[in-house]
Amino acid sequence: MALKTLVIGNGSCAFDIVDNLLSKNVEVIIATRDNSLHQKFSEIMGQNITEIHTETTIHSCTGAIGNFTISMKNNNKSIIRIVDCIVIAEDSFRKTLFASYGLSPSTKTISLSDLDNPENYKNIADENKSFVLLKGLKFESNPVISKEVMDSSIKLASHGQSKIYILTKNLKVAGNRLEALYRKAKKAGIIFIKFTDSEPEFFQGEDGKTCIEFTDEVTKKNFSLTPDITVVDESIVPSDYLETLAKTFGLNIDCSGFLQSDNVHRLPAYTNRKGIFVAGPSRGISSPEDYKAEAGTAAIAVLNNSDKNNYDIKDKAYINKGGCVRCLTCYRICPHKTISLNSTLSVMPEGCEGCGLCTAECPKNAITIENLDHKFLIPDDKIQNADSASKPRITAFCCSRSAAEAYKLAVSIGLTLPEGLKIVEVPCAGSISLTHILNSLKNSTGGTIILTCHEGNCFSEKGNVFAHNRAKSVSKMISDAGYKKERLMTYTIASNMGKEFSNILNDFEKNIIDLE
Amino acid sequence: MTEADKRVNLDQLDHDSCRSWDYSQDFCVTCGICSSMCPVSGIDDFDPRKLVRMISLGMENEAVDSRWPWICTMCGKCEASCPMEIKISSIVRKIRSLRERDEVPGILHKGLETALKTGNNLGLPKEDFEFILEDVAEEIAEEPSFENFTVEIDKKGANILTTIHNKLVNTHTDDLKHWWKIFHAAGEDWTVPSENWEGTNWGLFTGDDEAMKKMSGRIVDHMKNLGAKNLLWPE
Amino acid sequence: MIKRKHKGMPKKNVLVIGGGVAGLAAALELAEQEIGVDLIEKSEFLGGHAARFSCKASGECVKCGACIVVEKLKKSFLNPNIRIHTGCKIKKFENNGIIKTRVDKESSEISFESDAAIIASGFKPFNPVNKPFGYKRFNNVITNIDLEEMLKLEDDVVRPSDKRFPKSIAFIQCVGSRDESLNHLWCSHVCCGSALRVAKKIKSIKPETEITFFYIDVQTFGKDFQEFYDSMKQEIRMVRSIPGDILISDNDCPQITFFDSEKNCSIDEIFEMVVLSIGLTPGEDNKNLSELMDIKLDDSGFFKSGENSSTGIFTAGTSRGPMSIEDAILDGGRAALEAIKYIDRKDL
Ligand SMILES: Cc1cc2nc3c(=O)[nH]c(=O)nc-3n(C[C@H](O)[C@H](O)[C@H](O)COP(=O)(O)OP(=O)(O)OC[C@H]3O[C@@H](n4cnc5c(N)ncnc54)[C@H](O)[C@@H]3O)c2cc1C
Ligand code: SF4
Ligand code: SF4
Ligand code: SF4
Ligand code: SF4
Ligand code: SF4
Ligand code: SF4
Repeated sequence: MALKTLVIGNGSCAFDIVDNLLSKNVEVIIATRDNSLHQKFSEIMGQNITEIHTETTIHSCTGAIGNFTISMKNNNKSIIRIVDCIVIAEDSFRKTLFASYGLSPSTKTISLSDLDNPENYKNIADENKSFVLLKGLKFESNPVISKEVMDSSIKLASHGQSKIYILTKNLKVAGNRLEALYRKAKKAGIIFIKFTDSEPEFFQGEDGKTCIEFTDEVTKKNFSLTPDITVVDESIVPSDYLETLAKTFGLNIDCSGFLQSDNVHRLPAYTNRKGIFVAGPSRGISSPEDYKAEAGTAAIAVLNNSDKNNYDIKDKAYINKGGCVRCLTCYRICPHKTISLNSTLSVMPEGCEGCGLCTAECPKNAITIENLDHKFLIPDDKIQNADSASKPRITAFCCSRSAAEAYKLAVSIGLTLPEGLKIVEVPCAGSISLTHILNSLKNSTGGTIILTCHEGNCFSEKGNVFAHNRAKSVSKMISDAGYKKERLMTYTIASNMGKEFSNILNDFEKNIIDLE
Repeated sequence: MTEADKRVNLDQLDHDSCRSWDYSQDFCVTCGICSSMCPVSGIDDFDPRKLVRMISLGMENEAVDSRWPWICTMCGKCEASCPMEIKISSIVRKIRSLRERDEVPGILHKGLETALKTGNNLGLPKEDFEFILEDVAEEIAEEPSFENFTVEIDKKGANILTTIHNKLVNTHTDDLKHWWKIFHAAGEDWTVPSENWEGTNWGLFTGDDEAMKKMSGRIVDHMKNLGAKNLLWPE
Repeated sequence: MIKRKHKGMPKKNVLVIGGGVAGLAAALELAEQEIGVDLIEKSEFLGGHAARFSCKASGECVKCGACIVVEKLKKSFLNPNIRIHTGCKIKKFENNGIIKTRVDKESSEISFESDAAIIASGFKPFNPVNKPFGYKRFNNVITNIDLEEMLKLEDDVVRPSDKRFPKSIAFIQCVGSRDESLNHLWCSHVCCGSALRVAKKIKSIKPETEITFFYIDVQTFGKDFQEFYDSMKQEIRMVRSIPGDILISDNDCPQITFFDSEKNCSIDEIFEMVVLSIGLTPGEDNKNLSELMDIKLDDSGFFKSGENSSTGIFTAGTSRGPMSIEDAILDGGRAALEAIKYIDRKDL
C-alpha cells in the first residue's frame, strides 16, 4: 500500500512538496481554503494519484502517524480521509506598514507589493521621477524584504530614474548574494541613507505625496525629500489559518505565530507531533530559495518518518485502565498529543516519544513505560571508582538528550568527575517524578542532582520545566523537614558542554563534602 | 536662520557632476573605518566618511566651500583601510581642485606659487642650498670613519638620485645626516640636484593637476639630464 | 514500500565529502532511505566547525544550534548504512555514470564506487592577521572562534594574557566580510548573531562586564530577533562604526581608536579584551575539488548554487556560501533529496 500524505497549502512551497512526494510515488491529497489551485499545479494535474480539495478546511484530526483520520469541510459537505502523514505549507501574508509610519495609502504613497505588481509597475515607473523606499525604519526588517526593496529599486533605475533613495535602519544583507546586490544597487545610482537611533519624520500632503524630513547621521545635515512616489515596506506575517490548524492538530506555535515552537529539535521540518510536518512559509520567514530547500526536507521527512511499526512497545507509555480515574492530566500535558480520549484513555504508541511526562504526573500512578521503570530501578552502574565509600555518593538524573551526552563527552575527553557519581539516564527530565527524587535522596549518602536541557531546548517542550518545578517542591518539603536542601540541586546544560558538566558535578560534590 | 531654512532639499541637489567622478564614492557602506583611522578626524568636525557621503549625496558645492578638504593631511590611511576601495584621497584632491585658485588656503597657495617660481617652497636660492649641503657634509666628515665623506651635487650617471624634503635643509638638517651616512656606509653612488630639488609635490596637496605635472616633470628631467639610474623620492 | 527494497536490486551508494553538519544531515537522510553512504572526512573528527562551538544559553536556550551536532553525530555512528572514513584525502575522482573515488587514509588507499556524490566540504574561517587589529600580535585580541572554544573547553571567559575575567570587551564585526578590497563581497550571515548571543551570555555570567559592539548593520537572526535586539541595546553599548588601529596599552589591554559619530570625533579607549568577528570564506579545498570533480565555483570562490544534477554531483552547506547551522542542515536534506531523485531517474 502506498504512503498517503495530506498536504495543506496552495503556494510554490506546497507545490514543491507535492512534486517531490509524487516523484517518490507517495499518494498525495491536497487541501486548500482557496477556490482554485495555484497555476503551478497544472503541471502535475494529470498524475491521477493526486486528490485535490479546494474551498476545503480541516475540521478535525484524530489518530496518530500512519493512521490519521482527517475530517474536512467543503461548503457543507464533509470529507473523511485516512492518511499516514500531514504536511502544512500555507503561504504567509504580507502586512502593510502605512499605519506605523503615520501614512495613508494613496497613488503617491504605495506599499511594496503595489510596486511588484506588474500591472501597476509600468505606469508607476513611466510617470514618476523620484522614489523613496522605506525599509525597516519602524520594525527590524529581514533579508527577504531587503532583497525585494533592492531589486525593485534597481528595476526602477533601469528605467532611467535617477533619484531613488532607500531609507533604512540596519540594512539586512545576510542572504544569498545580498551584499553583491547592495553593491549593484549603489552602482545603479541608488542612494542608501541609514539610520541608527534617529528616525525620519513623515508628512503627507493633500495630494497623497509624502514629505520626509531627517538629519543624516553621517554628515549631520538636515534634509528633506518629497519624492513623486514613496514606497512603504511590509512585514511578513503567518497566515491567519495557522492558528486554527495548530488547534486542530495540537501543534505548538512560535513567538511570531508560525507553526512549531522555536526549538532546535524541530529542525528542519518536524513538529511536536510525529508524522505532522511544517515547511516553508508556515514555518517562518525565508527566501524563496530556502523555501524550496524546506520543501525538499519536508518531503524527505515524510519518506523517512512514515515507518509507524518500527518501535519497541516497552519504550511507550501504557495506561492501566483499572488505575485511571480519568482526571485527564495526561491528556492535557502530553507534549506530543498522542493520548486519545474515547470511552477510555489510551496512548497511541506510534506517536508516543516515551518522554514520560505523563508517567511522572499521573496522580494515580496509572501510566507505565516498561523500559523507563527499568532505568530508574537499576541506575547505570558506571560508578567512577569501585571504592566509593570515602566519597559522597551522588545520583545525577540526566536527560538523555543533553546532560547524558555532556557526561559522555566529559568522560571521553578525560575530565575529572566525582568518584561516587551514579548516572541515571532518563529519556526526558520530565519523567523524573516526586517519588523518584525522594527515593534517590533516601538512598544516596551524598546528594541528588537533576540536569536537564536549557529552557526552550526540551524535546518534549516543557519536560525540563516540570522537572525543575518538582525539584523545587521536594526542596521545600525536605527543608521543612529539617533536611539540608543543598543535597538536591537542579541545573540546565546542553549536550555539547562536557567541561561545564564536570564543573557542575565537581562543585556539587565539594558543596556536599562541606556539608558533612 | 531657523533649522527648517537650513534643510537641504535632497532630491533637488544636482548629482550629475559628482556622479561622474570615478573614485567609487557611491559604494561606501558607511562602515566608518576611514574615520576611525584618520589622524585628523574630529578637527573642525571633519572626518573622511562625512566627506565621502557628502559627495555621494550630491553636496559637491558645500564640500568645495567647506574647510574640511583642507584639514586632510593626505596621509592615505583612510584609503588603505577602506573595505570598498574608495579612493578617498583622490576625492579630497578633487574637491580641492574645484576651489578657485586664489581661494586655496594661504599657506598652500603661497607654497605652491613659490615652488613653481623658485623650484622650492622656501624660495631658497641655489647658492644657499649648495652651501647648506656642503656644510652638512663637512660636519659628517668630522665624525670618525666618515673622514672622506663628500656630497656630489649634480653628479652625472649616479646610481641614485634623491630629492629633498624642505624641512631637511631648513630645521632638520640632522635628519639629512642619517640618510647620507647610510649611503656612505653602503658605498652608494648618489647625487642631489642643485635646482628644483624639492620632493614635496605642492600640486598634489592643492589639487592642482597642472602644477602637479609640472613639479613631477622637473624630477623626470633631472633623471634624464643627469642620467641617474634610480630615483629615491622620500615623501 | 517507500523505503528502498533491495531484493535482487544492488544497493545504491552515495559519496558524501565532508563530515560537518551539512554532510552529516545529508548522510543521515540518505541512510534512512537505505542508501549506503561513504562519508569521507579529511580531519580526524566529524562535526566540522560547529562541533567546536559552545552553548550560548544562559538558562534559556538562544537557539544557536550548536548542540544539534551532537545529536547528528550520535545518529550517524549508530546508522549501519553510514560508513565513516576519517583522516581521508581524495586522490582520484572519476565520473562515468558510476563515480569512482580513491582516497588516501594514513598510508593505505581506499576506493569507492558511488551512484552520486555530495560535496559538503564547508568553509574556512577568515584569517585576520593582516587586518590592522593586532591578531596574533596582541594576546588579548582573539577571534569569535577562539572565544567559542574557550567557552566550550574551559567553561569560562578569560583574557589569554592573565586568565582573568575581562572587565570590558569590544566586539568588532565584519572582519573579513563585506570587504571588496579582499574580494569578499558577502555578509557572513552568522557573526552578528554569534557575537550578540555570546555577549548576552557573558552579561548573564558577569552583569558588570562592559561590552561594546562595533558594527555596520546588525543582521536579523532567530525568531524573536526584535525583542532580543531591543533588550541587547539596553545591555551593551552599540557603536555604528568599525574601529581603526589597535595599540597595546598597560597590562596587555588593547587600545582602540574609533570614530564616535555622536561626539563627532575619534576616541581612544582601552578594553581588556577584543573579539574579532571573523567571517566565513570559501573552503581551502574548493578549488582543488572543483577541478577534480568538474564542478564550477562562483566568482566568490564558493560552489555554484545551481545544481549539477545531470552529472550526479551535488553541493550542500557552507561549501555554497555562508549559512547558519540550521540552514546547513536544511541544505544537507535538500541535497540528499536531489541525489535520491537523480538515482531514481538514472534507474529508469
Ligand atoms: C565564529 C563563528 C560562529 C558561528 N556561530 C554560529 C551560530 O551561533 N549558529 C549557527 O547556526 N551557525 C554559526 N556559525 C556557522 C556554522 O559554523 C556553519 O553553519 C556550519 O559549521 C556549517 O557546516 P558545514 O557542514 O557546511 O561546514 P563545516 O562545519 O566547515 O564542515 C565541513 C567539513 O568538511 C571537511 N572537509 C573539508 N574539505 C574536505 C575534503 N576535501 N575532503 C574531506 N573532508 C573535507 C572539514 O574537515 C569539515 O569537517 C558560526 C560560524 C563561525 C565562523
Ligand atoms: S493522568 Fe492518570 S489518572 Fe489521570 S487520566 Fe491520565 S492515566 Fe488517568
Ligand atoms: S510518554 Fe510522553 S509522548 Fe508518550 S504519552 Fe506520555 S507524555 Fe505523551
Ligand atoms: S572606509 Fe570606505 S566604505 Fe567605510 S565609511 Fe569610509 S569610505 Fe565608506
Ligand atoms: S588622507 Fe586625509 S582623510 Fe584620509 S586618513 Fe589621511 S588625513 Fe584623514
Ligand atoms: S541551541 Fe545553542 S543555546 Fe540552545 S541549548 Fe543548544 S547549544 Fe545551547
Ligand atoms: S553577520 Fe553581521 S558581522 Fe557578520 S558579516 Fe554580516 S553584518 Fe558583518
